[in-house]
Amino acid sequence: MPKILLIEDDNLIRKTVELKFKKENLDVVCACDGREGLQKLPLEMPDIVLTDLMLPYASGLEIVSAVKAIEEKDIPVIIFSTMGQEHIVQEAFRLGADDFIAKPFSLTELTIRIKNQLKKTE
Amino acid sequence: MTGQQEIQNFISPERLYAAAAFFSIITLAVVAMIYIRLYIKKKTHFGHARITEQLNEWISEALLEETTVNITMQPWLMQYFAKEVHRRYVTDSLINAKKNLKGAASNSIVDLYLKLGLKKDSLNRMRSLVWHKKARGIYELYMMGQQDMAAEIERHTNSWFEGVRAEAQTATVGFKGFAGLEFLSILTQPLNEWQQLKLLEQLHKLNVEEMPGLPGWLASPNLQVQIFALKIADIYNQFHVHDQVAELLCADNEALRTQAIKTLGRIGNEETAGIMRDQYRQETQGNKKLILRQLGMVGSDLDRNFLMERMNEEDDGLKLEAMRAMAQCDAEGWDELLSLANDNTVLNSISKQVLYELEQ
Repeated sequence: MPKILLIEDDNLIRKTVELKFKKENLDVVCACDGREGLQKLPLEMPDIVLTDLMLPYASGLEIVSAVKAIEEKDIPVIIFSTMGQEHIVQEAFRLGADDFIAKPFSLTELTIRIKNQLKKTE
Repeated sequence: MTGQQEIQNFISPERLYAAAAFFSIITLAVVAMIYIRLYIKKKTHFGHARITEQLNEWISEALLEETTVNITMQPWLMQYFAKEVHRRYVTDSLINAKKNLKGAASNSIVDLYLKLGLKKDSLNRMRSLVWHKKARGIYELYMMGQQDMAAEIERHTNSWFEGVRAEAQTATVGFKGFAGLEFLSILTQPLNEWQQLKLLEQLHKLNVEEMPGLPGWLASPNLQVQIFALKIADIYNQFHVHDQVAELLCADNEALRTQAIKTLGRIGNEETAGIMRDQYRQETQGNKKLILRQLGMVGSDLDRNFLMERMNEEDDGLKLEAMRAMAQCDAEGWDELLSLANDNTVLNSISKQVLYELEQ
């Protein structure tokens, strides 16, 4: 079962996305801020990382950099962004982000994007 | 008995022991109280965190269901919802989720809001006499897309209270689109810059519709409504109000004239340049520069003499704007101006600046 590291500071959104992924038979590990995300990254070695850009303690850009610095595995990163963060999204792509999904997002669309990314790395 | 003996009797070992014991007990009591208080606080915090966690899980499951009809509330949840402060927390969570999610989950959020009876709370808040509660109630109803409340919300668009007014205006435009701007016809209260920006941002996401009220807004006794109407005419190229906008060049208020000049630059016709040239001499320095800038967009070779005359202005800023305008609207005039600049050091350096800008 593919493993997703979900880093999102909004409790309700994190829980809802987590439940949705579980229903889709995806294994989810959650982190509620950037620091926890960075701690869990080397321990869990997920198949894909889904992160918000604006996070407490460590930003989404730091997460993207950390994921892309892992040499053992090519882990795709999808970022959540909101209106007005276009320049940060560009920076995230420069750092190696693979895709982005704008908030508000549809859970179905998010799941499709995740599965597509997972297919690419298979 | 001497004074010294009296003091010695007073601070006898028994009394000292008693005092030490008393203060020790007081200290222990204070420490114990602090400990108990922290313990209760910690327990309450973790209790709240546990309930919030369970609540989030319950809401998340409800959002992922196809329908909320079959959702049941367990006793702990019923108890939780008995308190208004908790219901408000859930409303906030749902609004936040609605901002982040769309599609089926977004519809489920609204279903859940209605099923939990949270709309009643929002209505009570909107009907409250306290302004911040009223503003909050309007915001909640709008965020949850309660169209049936649009008429009641619209009644607050001219409220005395800025917060209430702003939320009601945002909600009305959100519900009705361009038609929602009709509140401008009755607005006597201020419409501040920030609210104007918010409304324009909202309209930006919509398809343009007819605005039959626009001529009326341009003639409004409310200065900020007039300025906002000018911005709308500018952004949505409302050419049919050109003459009315031109009339506003004679207004007493400088900010209104400034916006009218900007708008004319966007909705100009063959008469606009002449109107602006006539206005030029009576204008402030800032508006003079603005007129020259707009002439670059609406001007032609008919403005050549006027722009040439600007080379005699004392302010180099005006010369620069006039040169820019000439370069934009009159190729022959621009060549003429370049030859004139060859014999004049100041004009020569300004023309170099304009040439550099043209190359960019």
